[in-house]
Amino acid sequence: MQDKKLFLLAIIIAILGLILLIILTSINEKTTEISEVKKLQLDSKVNLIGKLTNIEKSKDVTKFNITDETGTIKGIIFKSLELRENKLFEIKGVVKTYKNSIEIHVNSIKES
Amino acid sequence: MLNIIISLFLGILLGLISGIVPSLHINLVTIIVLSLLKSQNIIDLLTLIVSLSVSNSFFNTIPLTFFSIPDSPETSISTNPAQKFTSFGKSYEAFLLTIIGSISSLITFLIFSPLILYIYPTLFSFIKPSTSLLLLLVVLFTLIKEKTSRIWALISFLFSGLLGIFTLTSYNIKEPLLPLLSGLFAIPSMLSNLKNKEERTEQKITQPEINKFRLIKLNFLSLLCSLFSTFLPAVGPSQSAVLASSITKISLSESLILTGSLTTLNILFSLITLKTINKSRNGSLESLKDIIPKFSSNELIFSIIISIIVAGISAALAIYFARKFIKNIKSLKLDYLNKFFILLTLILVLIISKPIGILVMLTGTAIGFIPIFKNISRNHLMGCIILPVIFYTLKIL
Repeated sequence: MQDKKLFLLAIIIAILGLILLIILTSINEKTTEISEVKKLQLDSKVNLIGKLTNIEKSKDVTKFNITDETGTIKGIIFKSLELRENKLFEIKGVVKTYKNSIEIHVNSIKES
Repeated sequence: MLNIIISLFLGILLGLISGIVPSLHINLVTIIVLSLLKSQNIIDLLTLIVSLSVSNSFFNTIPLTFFSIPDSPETSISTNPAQKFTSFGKSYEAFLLTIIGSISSLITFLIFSPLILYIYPTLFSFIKPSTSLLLLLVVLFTLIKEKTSRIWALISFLFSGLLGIFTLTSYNIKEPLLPLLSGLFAIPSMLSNLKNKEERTEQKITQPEINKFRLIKLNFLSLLCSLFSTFLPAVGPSQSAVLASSITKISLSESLILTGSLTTLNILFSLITLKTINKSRNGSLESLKDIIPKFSSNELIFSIIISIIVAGISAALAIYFARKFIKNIKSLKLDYLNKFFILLTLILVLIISKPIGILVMLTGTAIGFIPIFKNISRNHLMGCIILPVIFYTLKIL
């Protein structure tokens, strides 16, 4: 195949691939239950929905417990945020361990 | 003590494997190692991760120099110089230049590390508020510095950036860097090698001629550029190289020294940032935060001592392997090797990142072909990390 045709093919695949990724990543984002989190590998990304309790805020960090019907897990976000107790939140983060217990390092959090 | 020695050699071995296999990124190896050995002693794990990271910075130019495969953004900066040396039968000399860069940068780093350690927190707090603006300036600068085609450079940056955004923010793709970086950097080079079946020039063992004054100047320059890049997340050795080459005219052999120097400094500066701001610029060292939440001065000194030992052993091993490669390169079937690495990458991506990872890799491969076809620098593909970071710092993501 000629270089020009190959290049055109690469551009078409790049555009189609990007469009397909937008669709797939937006429609297929499943929520993880807290009881399932403990079975996941470290650094797995999770998407949780739960109530926040025991919120502790300091200068650079906000810590809280996330609770759903299957359990409770600690969450930490490295920002100082105003969060409302006992409200339902949608939380995206990564599974980490700290002092031998599993916690979620939160990347994004919004009230659902 | 025995455990530390075992961890050190295991780290070097893993650094060698992840350096030679083009798609096996050091971050992935670290995650696998830490999940398998998480119950080990903290000092053993620290030794292992530091050894792995430092040795990888010595070995990761092997695929580029001997097989023309830049396996990561860090080494992609010297694709053209390495290929030119290879076309003159001087791939061993090219490789030796990167090793000289790595070792000399380590010495420079050791001399200046107390000063850097002292001033770093102040500099960081001064620069931090302007991170997103500086990142945008670095992107603009690398685009303006592109001589062949700025339009295609911008398209490469935006396409790879969009791919990075969808891949890194998706919660469905495990180990997103594996398909992302393999697709953008390693696979297009391997496919391109298969397509261009030129007669390979006979490779000889030749020694580089080095101007000591220029070497010292290059080391200062790479130290300053590396220091600057530590303030900017996602700006790595490839952008530092563009910056360095705009400050002074750099010859082909000097750009190879710069590659070695910048990749090793990237690791060493990560130890400093881990101590001073509790953040690392390197994925493998960042994972240390899971086992050592607060990196102390003792741990920093210990890590630097390990780095010196590992650098010495890795340099000797790298030169030994390079000589072996040169002697046996004629009997090496590079076509088979490229096909084997492509197949291995496909299998790794399918197992770890699942079918959606294959889609990321395929899209990345298509985007990775743009700089090859348009003959522009591959560092624009670092948009895959830089654009998501710009969006994140501007709170768009």
